[in-house]
Amino acid sequence: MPQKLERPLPYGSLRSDLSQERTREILRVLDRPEILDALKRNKIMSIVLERLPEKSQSAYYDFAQKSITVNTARKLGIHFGEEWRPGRTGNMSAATKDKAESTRRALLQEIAHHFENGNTEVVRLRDAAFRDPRKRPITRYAAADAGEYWAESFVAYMVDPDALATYDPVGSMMVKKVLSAARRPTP
Amino acid sequence: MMPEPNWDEIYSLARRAEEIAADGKMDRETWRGLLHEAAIASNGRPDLTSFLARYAKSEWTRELREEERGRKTPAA
Repeated sequence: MPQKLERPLPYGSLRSDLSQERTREILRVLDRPEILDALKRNKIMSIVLERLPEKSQSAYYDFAQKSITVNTARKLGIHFGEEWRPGRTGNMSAATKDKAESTRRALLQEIAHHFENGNTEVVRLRDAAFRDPRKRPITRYAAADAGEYWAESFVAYMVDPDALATYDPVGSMMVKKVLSAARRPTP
Repeated sequence: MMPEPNWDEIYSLARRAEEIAADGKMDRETWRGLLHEAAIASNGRPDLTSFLARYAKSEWTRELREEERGRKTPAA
């Protein structure tokens, strides 16, 4: 497993206050062909995994800088620890009892925002799915707007694709189409 | 047991943010105000305010981070 992460990764820089092993444990969530291919086409400038004191935000994607920041100081009962119930769970990164898994999901969520950034085809697919009256947002947070619908569906697709396909076929199809679009060269 | 957010308020804020941005009226103060309201609506769950990140300029986020770090620093 670790040797895969020794190869060059498609982001400009990495800053992490976790141990090398823990950092790898988090980053391995990106080690999937559909994600790596899309990142090769659209590179992330930086990934920051560190303990943040922020009260108001704990993971965010900077659309201008193409950078991701994830707070590694995730706390049970605040960031994670929720029961996983499709359609009723608050958000995907909360729906686990495992801190590292919550961190990985938060990173995936921000990766999803990176994929929509500047890709008009991805935005079109995302918006069309969100407007679809048959959609059933996989989490409560997924109902907030088209961007979060896409990002939460993407995380669900990565961690429990069967649950997404069963509960929200529209979201599942959207993710498949978006991943296909994100892997194509941008015009 | 995790705190239950005010989902209706989060959805309302997401719609407002989208409209404000579409009108070209998102500025630092407006964004900060929305973030403050989102933090309250999230009921202590900061992952639920990230829908506002897309409307922020990099310097607004940086400034916020520095402020909140300052707030955490114990008084000398």
